[in-house]
Formats: sequence, C-alpha cells, structure tokens
Amino acid sequence: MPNKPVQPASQVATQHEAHTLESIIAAVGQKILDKEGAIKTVIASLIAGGHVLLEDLPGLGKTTLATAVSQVFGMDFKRIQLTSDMMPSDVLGVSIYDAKSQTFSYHKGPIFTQFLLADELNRATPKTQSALLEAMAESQVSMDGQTHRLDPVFFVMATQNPIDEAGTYALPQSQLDRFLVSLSLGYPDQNNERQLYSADYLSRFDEPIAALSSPTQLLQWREQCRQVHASDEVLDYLQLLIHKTRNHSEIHQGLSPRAGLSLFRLAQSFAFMDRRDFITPADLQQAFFPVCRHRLVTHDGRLAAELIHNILDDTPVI
Amino acid sequence: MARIQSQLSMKQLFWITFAVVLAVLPQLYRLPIWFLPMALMVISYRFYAQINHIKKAWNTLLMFLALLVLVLIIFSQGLTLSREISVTILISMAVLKLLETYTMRDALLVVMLCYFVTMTRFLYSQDLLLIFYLLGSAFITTHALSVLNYEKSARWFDRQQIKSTAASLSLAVPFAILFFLVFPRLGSPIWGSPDFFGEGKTGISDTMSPGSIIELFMDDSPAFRVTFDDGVVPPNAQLYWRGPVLWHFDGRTWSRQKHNSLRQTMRQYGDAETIAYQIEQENTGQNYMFSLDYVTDSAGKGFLLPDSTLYSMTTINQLRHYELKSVLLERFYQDLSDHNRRLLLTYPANQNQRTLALIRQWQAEDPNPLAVVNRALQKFNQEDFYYSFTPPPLEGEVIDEFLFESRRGFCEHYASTFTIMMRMAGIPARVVTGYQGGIDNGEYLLVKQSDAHAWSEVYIEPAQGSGYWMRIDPTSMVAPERVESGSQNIMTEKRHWIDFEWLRDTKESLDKYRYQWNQWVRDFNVSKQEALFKAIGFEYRDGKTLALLMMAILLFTALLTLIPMWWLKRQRHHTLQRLYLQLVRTIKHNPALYDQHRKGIEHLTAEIIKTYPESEPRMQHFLALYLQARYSKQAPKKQQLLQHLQKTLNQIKPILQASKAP
Repeated sequence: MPNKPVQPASQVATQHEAHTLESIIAAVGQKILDKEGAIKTVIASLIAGGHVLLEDLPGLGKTTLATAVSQVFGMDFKRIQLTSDMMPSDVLGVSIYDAKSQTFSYHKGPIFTQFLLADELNRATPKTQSALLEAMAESQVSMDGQTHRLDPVFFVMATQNPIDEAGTYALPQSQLDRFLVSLSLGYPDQNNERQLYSADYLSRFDEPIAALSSPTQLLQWREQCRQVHASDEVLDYLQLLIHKTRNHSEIHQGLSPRAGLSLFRLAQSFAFMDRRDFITPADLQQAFFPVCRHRLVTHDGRLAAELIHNILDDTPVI
Repeated sequence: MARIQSQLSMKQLFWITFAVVLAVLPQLYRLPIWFLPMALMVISYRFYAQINHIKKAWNTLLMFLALLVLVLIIFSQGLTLSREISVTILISMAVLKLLETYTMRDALLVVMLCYFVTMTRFLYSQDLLLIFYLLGSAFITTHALSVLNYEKSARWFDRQQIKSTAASLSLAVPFAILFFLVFPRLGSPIWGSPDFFGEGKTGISDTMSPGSIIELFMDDSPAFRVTFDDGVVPPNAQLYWRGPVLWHFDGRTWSRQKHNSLRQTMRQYGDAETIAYQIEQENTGQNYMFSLDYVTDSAGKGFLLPDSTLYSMTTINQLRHYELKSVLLERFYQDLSDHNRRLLLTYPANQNQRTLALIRQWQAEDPNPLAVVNRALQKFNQEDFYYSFTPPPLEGEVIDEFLFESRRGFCEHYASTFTIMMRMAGIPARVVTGYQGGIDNGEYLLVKQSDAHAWSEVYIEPAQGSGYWMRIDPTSMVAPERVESGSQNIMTEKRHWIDFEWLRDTKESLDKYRYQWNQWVRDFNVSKQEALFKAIGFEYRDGKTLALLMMAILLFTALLTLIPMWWLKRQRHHTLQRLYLQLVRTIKHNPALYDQHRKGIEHLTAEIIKTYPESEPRMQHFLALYLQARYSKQAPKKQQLLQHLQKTLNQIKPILQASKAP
C-alpha cells in the first residue's frame, strides 16, 4: 500500500505568503551575512507588532539591517541620531504659531514614519527617551490637546552601544520592557567576514533591496498572526518558563505578565513564519531568549544570558 | 541530579527555617544558655547571606564551628552518654546545618532532621497538649518538604498548597493509627526510660529539707489520679497519700532508712472497713507508690516496706496503674525493735537546747507521752504560728530558730520540728511524706504535685497492751483548712507570677481530657495490645509472629500506595506523550542523543536528523504530524492520525536502531 502522506490541515500563511517570507529573509540575508537568527527575530518582532532593541558595538551592521528590513517591506524609513541635547520636540514635532492664519500649526517630527531607527537611544536624556517610548507604547503623540496617530505599521529599532557608557543614560527596567525583544548581532564568523570583502558583496552593498512586501500586507500578517492558536499544554509550558524566572535565586526580578504576553506574541509570530496556525514548545524556546535578554538581570545588574539558557535546559518538554 | 543541586529560593529557606524553629522551640528550656544566641546568630546570618547572595562559607570553617559547638555542649553538659546530651547535639547540629544549606540536597536533610528533632520531644513527655504542638510542628515540616519539592505559586503562604499538605498528612493518619495499634511494644521502652540514663526524677523524693515541698507546691502538674471503686470519695481530712517515710535527721535534711526486707500486703485488720481504689500514677523515675494508710492488698503490684510504704520492684518510668485496698486506721499496732527504736529517738546532739529545755519542762509537768504530744500540738495551735510558703530562711539550729523566732513555715517545717520534739521527749517518731487531699472532678480524684505534704507519725506505748503508730499532722493545728480544703485554696498570695485561679481551673478541667488521653493512648501497653489482638482472634506468643505480621502490613501498605501511583503515572502521559516516549526509547542506546529528549520533540528531531541523516524525510513527516496532532486547535480525525503516527514511528525505529551497530 503506498504511503500517502497526510497533509497538515489548515495553514494560515499560504504557500505564496510563506514563499514571500522566506524570500524576505533571504533578501535581508544578502546584506547581513550569517545572521539568519537575528534577521528572523527582527522580522518576527515586526510581524508581532513589537519594537526591537539592538545592543551592539559600532560597525556590526545595525544600520544595514534596519535599512534592509525597511526596504524589503517598502516602508518609509527615518533615522534619528539621539544626543544628550535633544529635546522631546526634536522627536515628536512641534506646534508653531502661524502669523498669517493666527493659529498654531503642528509640524510633525521624525517619529511620524513607518520604520524609525533610533540610534544610540541611551545618549538621549531621560526626558527625551521617555517621550519617545511613550509614543511607541501608545502609537500616538499628544500635543497641545491634540492627538496625532502614528502610522499603523510604526516600528522602532533602537540601538545602544553597550561599551561606551560615558555620558549615557541607561534605560530603566520599566522602559526596557517596552521593547518586545532585544538582540545583539555580534561579529560574523571568519568565512562570512571574508565574503564581506569580496567584490561580489561590495558591488551589491549599495544597491537598495527591492520591496518584496508592503505595509498593507504587513498589517494583514499582523492580524493573521494574532489568530495563531496555543493549546493548554503550550500555555502550561509558557507559564512554567515564566514561573522559573521569578523563582530563580540568581535573577533579580522575574518576567512581568507584560513580558509573558510579549513571549506569547513573539512565539505566535515564529509559528506564523513557520506556516503553522498553532504554537509549539519550540516557538517558545526560540522566543524565550530575545524576550528575556533585556528583561532579566542578575542581582549585580549583569546580563543573565547563561541563566536564561539554563532555565530553558532545566524546563523539560515531554 | 540537577534538581538536587538547585539553589534554594528565599521562600524555601523561610519554610525550612520555620520548621527548624518550631521543632526546637519546645526543647529550648532545657538547652544550654548559649544555645539561643547561637541559634539566632546562625539564622540571621543565613538570611543575611540569602539576601545579599553571599556564597557558602568554607567547609573548613563550618567544620570548625561544628567542633566548637560540640566542645561547648560537652563543656556545659558533661561528657556522658545521656539522652540529654544526645538530644542537645542533634538539635545544635540541625540548627548549624542551616549554615551549609544552600541546595535542595541539604534542605531535604534538614527537613528529615526536623522530623527527628520533633520526635525527641516525646522522650521527655507524652502529654496531651504537647501532642497538639508537635502535630503542628510536623505539619509545618511537611509543608516545608512540599515547598521544597514543588512551588504551586510564588506566594509565601499559598492556601492551596497548605491545603494539599493537610491532605497528604491526613492520608498518613490511618497508617499512624494502624502502626500505633500493631507495632510491637516493649514492656518498658528503653529509649523512654529516665532511669536508663539516671535522670528525670520528679515528685516527692526520699529526702526532705526546708523548701523541698514548697518547690513541689509551685507545680500544678498531676502526680496521680484515683478512682474509688464504690464512687465515694472519703472526706479530705482522711486523704493522706503515704509516700516515703523519713527516719534520719542530720540537723537540716531528712532522709530515709535503708531497709533490707519487703513484705507482702496480706493482713487482716479485724472489722475495719476496706476501701478499694485504683491509682494511675505519672512516671516519677522512682519506686515509691502512693496509698492510703494502711494497704491490705496491692494485687501483687507492690510490696510494703517495714515502715508501711508501698514500694515497686521496678522503677516507675511510665504511666502506671495499680489497684489497692486499704483500711483507714487511727492506730496501727506494730512491734518496734530496739534497734529501730534507737534510730527513731535520735536527734542531733548538743543542738536546739531551748527546745530541749521546753520539752524537759513539759515532761516534768506530765510524763505521759500523749500529754506531751498534746502540749506540742497546743503550742502550735495557740501561739503565733503561721502557715506560709514564703518562710524566712533558717540557718544554724533549725528547730530552735523555727520554734522560738521565725514561726512561719510550710508543712515540712512543722512536721520536722514536731518529730524532733517528740524524739526529745523519748517518743519514737518519724516524718511521712506524700500527698494530702486532691480535687474531685466527678470522674476521679486528681492529686497534683502541689498537694505534696509532710506529716509525723509517733509510736505510742501505753502502760499495758502493745504499742501502736499514730498519725499526727502538726500543720493541721496551724492551718486546719489546709487539710480540709487543700493547700492552694487557703493561700491568698500568688505562688508565682502566672498563678491565676482561672488558669488553675483551666488546667484542672483540661486534666479530664488528659485522663482520657492516658486511658486510650499513653497506657496502651503490651497487655492491652495482646488483649486487642485476642479480641480480633489473633493470638500471638512471641515477637516473631508480630514482626511477620508487621512485615505483611508494610508490604500491603506499600503495594496499596505504589500501584495507584504507577497507574496514575501511566495516565498522566496521554497517548501522544507515550508515542514520543516510544521514540525516545528507540534512541536510548545513544546517551548523548537521549539526553536531548527533555527539550522537546522539535529539538530532538533536529538532533536525530543530524545523527541519522537517512531518517530525515520520515522524521520530518512524523514531526509535522505529531505537532499537528498535539498542539493545533482542531486535530482532524484524531484516531486516524494517531494510527498514521504509530505507523510512521514503526518505520523510523529500524532506521534508528540499524545504525546502532557501528
């Protein structure tokens, strides 16, 4: 009897969409070599509707990644370089008195875009930081009693330089929580670094990537992504992971319920990208590290990377 | 393995420390003085370390600390094999263990120690109230164990979890009762025997010096309980419970005569009315039994000393029951040997000259012994003598000082003084100690330590006829109410700072429950156990049969618990999980791969494909179906899907196992 494979039933991301998603990842991968995991996380976060915090040394491709992603989705791209003398109005915009019409008119700031790269976020003063983060959380800017909605696909990729700390204002834990994920690209490995210097790569480096998707499609995907199902068993596992972060003797503070929700959303997004309409434990495992990376610190304030992996290892899925 | 090494959370530390504190607390009163500060220091350091994430101290330092404490214990309690010192070492080490308790492994050890420490309290008392406390302590220990194993929530006091602890403990109750009933009992428990280590004498002793009965007067704990067979309690003034009789006086302390003969209690006293009663005596660590004068029958449980005190051949180390018959006699006819007469007339020479002069004067006025007795009693009755439990201390010539100066004293002062006065007058006399009175609570007569009393006995030899002993209670001349209504009721002052009437009343009414407790639990001895077995038709001759029965019960119990557990465990993994475990078992021959199974099927599949590339298509297929079946919202045609999964798995198995050989 021929073994007729049973096709997995419903699939939210159709073959076509999945094909698009794969080619999107591949296209960005042409620019950022050997960082498929990071690219996937950024795109998953974009689909989940969350913002990304990149922590890296200068020159490791943060900006390249940002432009590549914005181009491949055909999004408006703006970049602000944050400095300590920046005011909230430099980000949000300002109301100016128009003598002719004798009214105040609002001049939109750089935040009114689809893809915002906020470079060196920790250089801005807390006042400016919180103005930006508040706008990110509420998707709107309130000024002079008027509310201006941000673009529906509004997405922020903020960067921080972890080494050069002089004259910076470290983001408090409550503000860090507004970023869905945080990640670090790190150095490429030897072979890939070689490729960087190849004529082939250099020639296509300055070419913009053709848009493979659109903000409209992105919004559709976001909607579909929210429908991804989580079974009770998966929720148990999710809760167990969160619980372990709270009861770990070396971790200063465990995940908040908001962080738990972030973990859930990102796992949904990973499942969606993998053409499934249900979450599996592996989605949660994949989402766990980027969600925890900026949220969990040890008691002396260090990054708890090793502990996060330990928690994953210590929590069996059977 | 990993779990046993995992670090303790603050909550877990809190619960095990709480368990230790509760287990140690009831023994605090008998631990050396340095123990409390040491324990407080250990506990506060441990919490300080937990809060500030200080790593475990060096093992050498801990070892040194343990040795130091050991030396301290030996220094304060002496280097002997005693229950006292063993328990102190156990408790101290349990507390010190907290210092190195950072992981699950040590925490489990501490919890086990807690159970053991809780148990050791029973070596000192098996009182009813204590049981409640120790049950509470065991409950907290069990809860600590539960928190160590599984935290239901991050809350410190999780009502749900406390409930589940209660549920698990209540499961143990039937087994506890069963074991209580059938566990082989020793005739006399060696571990509980105060005499084994030469400790723990309580109650009336066989010496008496000023102050020793006052000490007992402060103690409200029960000495013994009496039930009268005909239900009629004789009047209080007749309830003289005879204990040790004291012959020798060294100027300050009275002590007993060492007898070398005991006699059976088989005597006829003509037509005197016999009183039959039963006594339930608390353990004293001594051999004296208490009885009304004079015992005619002790049902073989005791023998009489020549001075008419009932004496047990074995030390009373646990609650003891005996049935007695007595006659209440005013005169007890008995011969007195010359040797004994000489002993009973001895008093410290060249002391108490003023008393001696007074006696000589009385004798000159009327030489009749009874007249002297009456003169002495009249003196106590009519002159300024006071009954007090806070008498001024006596120094030097005790008798003179008491009779002419202080004139304030407790029964022991009056009995002692009176007896010496009689001896000075040439009347053989001795001091009898024991208890007087008791509280009739309807069911039984409760005699407390505070009812301890001392009185005199004089030997009268009339001109014609034989000599007889007569009980004289000089205290009754000073304070007649003492004999009629008990010592506590006539005192207006408090004995100590927590001496309230309502508290005494509560204690007395509680004693009824204690009595029931004694009847049903503490007094469940070998013979009662035998009777129980006989009642259910099982007669045993020796311990071997009983041991076999125990084994059978244990085995049965184990099966009773293990089978449902095994069954539940099977149930917990549903069909899909079992499929996964099947897959896991097929790669058991590859330990590195096998270890990955905890991370879930997706991870394991990736690893399997890496090791056995030829399995990739089937593995991927299996994985996709499996995930679909287990995690998706609506799994279609589940039964069919499961069959297909099983089939795919069967195809995968040979691939994975074939590669086993090389």
